[in-house]
Amino acid sequence: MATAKPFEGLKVLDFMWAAVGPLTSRYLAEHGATVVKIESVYHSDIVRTTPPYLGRQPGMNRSHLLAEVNVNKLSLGINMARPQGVELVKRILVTWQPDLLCENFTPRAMKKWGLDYPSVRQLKPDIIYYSSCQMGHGGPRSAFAGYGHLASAIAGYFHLTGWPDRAPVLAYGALSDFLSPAIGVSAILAALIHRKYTGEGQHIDQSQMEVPLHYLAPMLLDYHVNGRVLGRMGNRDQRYCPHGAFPCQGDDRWLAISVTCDEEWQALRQAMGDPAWARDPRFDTALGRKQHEEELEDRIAQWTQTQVAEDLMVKLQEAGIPAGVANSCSDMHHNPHLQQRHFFRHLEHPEGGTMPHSGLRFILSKTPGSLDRCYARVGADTEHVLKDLVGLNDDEIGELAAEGVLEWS
Amino acid sequence: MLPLERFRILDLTEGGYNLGAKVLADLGADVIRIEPPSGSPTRLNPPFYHDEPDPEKSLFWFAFNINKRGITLNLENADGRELFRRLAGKAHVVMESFAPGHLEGLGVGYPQLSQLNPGLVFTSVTPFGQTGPFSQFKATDIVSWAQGGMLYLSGDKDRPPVRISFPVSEAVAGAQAAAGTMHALWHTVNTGEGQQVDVSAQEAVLWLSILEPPYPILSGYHLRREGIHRGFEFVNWRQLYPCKDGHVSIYLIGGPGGAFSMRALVKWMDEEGIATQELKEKKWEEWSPGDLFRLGEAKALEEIRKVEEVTEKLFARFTKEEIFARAVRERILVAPCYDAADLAGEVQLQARDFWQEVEHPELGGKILYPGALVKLSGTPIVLRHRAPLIGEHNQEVYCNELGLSAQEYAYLRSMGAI
Repeated sequence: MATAKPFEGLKVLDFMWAAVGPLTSRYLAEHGATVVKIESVYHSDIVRTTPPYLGRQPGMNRSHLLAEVNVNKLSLGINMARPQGVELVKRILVTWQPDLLCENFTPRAMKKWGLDYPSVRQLKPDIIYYSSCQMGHGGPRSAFAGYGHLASAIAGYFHLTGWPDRAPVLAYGALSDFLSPAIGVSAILAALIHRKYTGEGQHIDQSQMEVPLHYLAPMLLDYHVNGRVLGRMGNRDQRYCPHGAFPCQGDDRWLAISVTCDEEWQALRQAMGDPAWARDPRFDTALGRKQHEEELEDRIAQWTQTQVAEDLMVKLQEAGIPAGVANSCSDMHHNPHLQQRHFFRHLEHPEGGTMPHSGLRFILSKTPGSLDRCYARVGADTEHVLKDLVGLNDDEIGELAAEGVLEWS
Repeated sequence: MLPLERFRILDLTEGGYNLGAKVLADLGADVIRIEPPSGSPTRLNPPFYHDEPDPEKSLFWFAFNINKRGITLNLENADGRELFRRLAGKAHVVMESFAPGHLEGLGVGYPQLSQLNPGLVFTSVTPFGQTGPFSQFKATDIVSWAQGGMLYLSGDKDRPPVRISFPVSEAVAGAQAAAGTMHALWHTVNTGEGQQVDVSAQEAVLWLSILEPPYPILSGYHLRREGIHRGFEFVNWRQLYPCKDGHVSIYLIGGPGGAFSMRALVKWMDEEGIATQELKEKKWEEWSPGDLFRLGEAKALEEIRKVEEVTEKLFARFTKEEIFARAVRERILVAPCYDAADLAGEVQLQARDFWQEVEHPELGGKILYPGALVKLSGTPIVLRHRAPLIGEHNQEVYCNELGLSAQEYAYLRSMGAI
């Protein structure tokens, strides 16, 4: 018998768009909350235009990213540029009584609509109101709008990626968009627990350029305490050696190998067949290996080039050496480990075919999340939300539709 | 009052996974960091205070264990395990990062502890998660980065793929462990039912690049590393440019998500006398990634490269701060590639009181830390105290809270249990 999901009954009014916000409310939607996403056609969610698309055909409802970050959510299409749109939202706040409102606009957007925290609190005093924006609320650069890779640049991630003899490269992706949600949802749930015990709501203000800094905290302390400005080291590590991505047989195949102690070095020697060069006493100690790192890397690379990456990973791991293939996203779909953990999912798309999704970020043993319903059309759930959750009648809904307050894609 | 004040968490994790319980400690939980009697191996992680390697001077330890209390406990010892059972019987959460099955083998895994304490949340964060053929495999940062797909996608084409020069994989998994723990804790608070939370560092890293796995399925190919370029499908931009004193990162998109920025950028190019007629006349509203995709690969890339050429010329004339100041003022989607020194001087962080001083009496001074994870209006996060010394709270926890007599405590210490 299925246990109820942890957030069943939790009501979320979700103004979030692009990736970082929706990825935060996706946790709640995966685990049973009713998440109503408010979206407009006229000023549409920017990820609606983002490739790749279902069937490689562009279309407002066909973006993978849109579906991925909004899975399980209900779509309510409201044109917020119309005063009646804003009035409708206020009515939802009063009638439906959401537990949580979340938004990730620059600070002026919600204020412009009269839906900032002080205003919403008048309508729903104990609401948890979550805001996430690039630079945070307050401060001289608060209004700066940006995307994930800009917050990653500001937070120092690109300065730290690449080779000491070259300019920085991108650490792949809109990194900060994926670093903020776990911290954001933890804060949201802590605030909800606090409200459960005290009845008090509150505002959560998350800066997307601050959150990634917490993952780099030791490096920031190193600057404040020791004055050190960490730079790019390629794949070298401050302690471990050998340490890097080593080439294997085939086109663009690489195995990450990381030797953390003498025992692992001895095991690597055996795995390589204990060649004469590896018996050189210079390599017996960690200091010796570190001092002759380049030579060591070249020797190991000559050996790995003759090996199949996947086989070598298993061989080294079975010998107790940390090693892992640099998986491409094609490899991911054939990875026996991810397959057994059912990581990837596929959901029926309303325009036909199936949309691939990434699975859960963690698995709860008794009340796991699930991916149930593909997100695609603006307004797919407008009638259900307005009638069943907010209590509007057919005439009222018809009137709002006729006035262009409600939108569908 | 802090939101998680009523909850006690026993933190047995190591390395960057320590960020997980740190997040919950910041939110107010009473986190007890449990170390072996000789001290946690995480205390050997660099960097160190004044570059002096010493278990009481690891800045890595300081950063990820702040706001926690600390005790020593030997799980390899029957008395130590008995103490752990007593602690777990009264705790709300245990977080651990041992190889799957290790604690169960010692008699203190989830199956055993849940008998004692059915409401317990037991969060396990490991390189590959609790199940599957790789679950016993080991990983360091670069291995998780590789297995999660981030390594393959980063770096110059003519060199091996490259990781970030500061290890973050474990911290990324630690943050997911915090989130997963909060999900389970909400369930416990409402139903009394506890459970195990399974977090895999491979999957946590994979979740940093979830835009990529659909490509083989939807578009029939996979993306490769492209150094300073990145895009969606073949719509691919250069995102890093040198400036006078470093580098900046820009997003050259139009459409609803960026037309305002492209107009402001071209205005700036025009002021500098380098905007082409074509750029001045372009309808940026019709330059979204989707619009460019519809143009087809050759035409889309030709369009983008023309913009990039002028962009490169523009940024070469200015410093990071000049570019960022203008970006803020004129709403341009460009930002500086900061290093640690730049961050220390960033005005926005200062204005938001991001940095917080924490006393380290043993070191005779204060250290500046990154402060609140987020700003909570009703229950603000504060850094209450530095990370614990080895065994700092042994007496407080074992005697005052668990009720050991002075004799019992002394005996258990002498027997190596504490």
